[in-house]
Amino acid sequence: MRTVFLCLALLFSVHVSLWAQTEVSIQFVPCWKDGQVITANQIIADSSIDSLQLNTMRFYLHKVELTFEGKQVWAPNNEHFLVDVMDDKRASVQLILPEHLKYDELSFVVGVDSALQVNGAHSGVLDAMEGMYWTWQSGYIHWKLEAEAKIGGNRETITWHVGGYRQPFNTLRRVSLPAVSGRTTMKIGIDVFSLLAAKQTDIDYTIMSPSKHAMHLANQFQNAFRWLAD
Amino acid sequence: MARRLGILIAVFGMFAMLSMLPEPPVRWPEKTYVLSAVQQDSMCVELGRALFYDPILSRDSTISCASCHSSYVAFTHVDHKVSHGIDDRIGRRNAPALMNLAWSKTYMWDGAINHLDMQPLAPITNALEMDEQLPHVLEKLQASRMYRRLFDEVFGDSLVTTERMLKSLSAFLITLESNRSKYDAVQRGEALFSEQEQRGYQLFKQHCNACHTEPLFTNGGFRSNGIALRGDDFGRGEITGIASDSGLFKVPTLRNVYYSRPYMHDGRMARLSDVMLHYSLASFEAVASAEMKMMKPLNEEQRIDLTSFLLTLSDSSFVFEKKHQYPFKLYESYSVQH
Repeated sequence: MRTVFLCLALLFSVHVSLWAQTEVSIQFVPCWKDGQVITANQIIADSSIDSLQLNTMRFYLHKVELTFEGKQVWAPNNEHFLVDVMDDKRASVQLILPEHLKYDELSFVVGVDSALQVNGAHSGVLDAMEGMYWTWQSGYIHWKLEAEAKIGGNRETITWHVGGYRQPFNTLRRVSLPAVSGRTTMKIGIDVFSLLAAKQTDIDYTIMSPSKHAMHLANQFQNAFRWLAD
Repeated sequence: MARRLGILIAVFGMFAMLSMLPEPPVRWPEKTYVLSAVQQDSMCVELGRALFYDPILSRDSTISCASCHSSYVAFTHVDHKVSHGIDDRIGRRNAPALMNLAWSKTYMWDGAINHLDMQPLAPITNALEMDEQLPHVLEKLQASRMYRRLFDEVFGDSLVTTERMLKSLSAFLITLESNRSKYDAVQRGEALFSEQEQRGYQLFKQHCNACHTEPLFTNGGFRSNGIALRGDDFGRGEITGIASDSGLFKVPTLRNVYYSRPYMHDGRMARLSDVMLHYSLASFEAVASAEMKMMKPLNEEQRIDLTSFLLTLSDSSFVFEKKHQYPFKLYESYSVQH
């Protein structure tokens, strides 16, 4: 009887350890040079810019994946998240992972899956009410940055609404970052300075439709994500 | 020898008989829009109809979808080259006729909209049309006793959401099927074309069918039909950003073409005869798409024959269908006045 009990207890503990889960919170924050976090209403001013006030930075992400030594070890359903870095309640994404999962890379796609762009009205974070859907044409805005700036003595309103799911202007991009397993909170910065530096090439301060300029910005945004210390 | 001759005569007779048989009817393709169970509910269709005719969707409650899409002219804006929206603001394109939308893959003259559900967002938010914001629309609908009741009946609770509103509108729009014209009766073997209509049909198949393809009378594609561009409207090119798409516009259906005047994306041609003349001008070939080369100049008699055939595409039962019209009873039952 005692042996049976011990076996059952052992099986139960194995079962629990196999199915035990842990919640990992990934917080996204806007940052400036050297990882300096930009807070709401903060006005950035330094040698590179007269002033910058970030008003909006929102983006969709989906297809979150964890890999270890190049092999996928975790990829949940194709849930979409809408991240708003200026709103504490919506600046984080919660992932439920198997406990003790080993991984060395985190990746996700910025934007809305192309399949969902062509099959009608959606609810939840994909509700057009969220203000991330173009109404003059069909398609979600993958990411949005709006800011007031003074650059080189000139006042500029920056309005970047980057979207596009069809070739030749498909602006979906996968972001990959090296990751350390075992942590329950992570902080990822989005380097606004690098995006503005991209402006200095050949793009406008107003981008509001799929175009080669939006493609260029999408490439810059893809490379603007970086780990920050908690 | 006599046996061989008999077989030859029989074979010849068979071919002769086959050539006398009427042409097989043109088959309708599969629909591209799939209705959900809720959308097939007649109450959902009624909710969509209430929304379609209700100016509550516009900023100052003066413009409804029906303002520019009148049922009695195949849901276009009769005698208006381009429509006028809120505060009498003038748009830049002719209101397209609405019918057989379940077969469409894109909407608007430039194909900017890729799904029927998302179509209403464009006129609701366009500053020249309804000039409204989506959150405010939902707020107004939520405050309405009639809409709370209708949403409750259809969806099981009274919450008004974007998805529910758009799918209800689609449920109504999908009912706008036109397939009871004389042309359709001929296809079903229930009627015969007159000799003139038959001649026009042959001309149509020879010159027009490549783009205005039966039975929908559009291939859903984008073409330049040789009309000169005016203003800053570059059509499909504005959406795709591809240079070769500049100047292309969606091929409109020719069903109910008699009712849906004026013609072209900017309504520049008032009469069908103007359209016929356009295709008879040698100059249009210079900028027309490849298929247009099939549209050789027609003489006056041919133009009359072709027009005669096009009139067989008029579906009066569609145009005067009560179920498509202003929902007096529904509004009256809730004391709604427009």
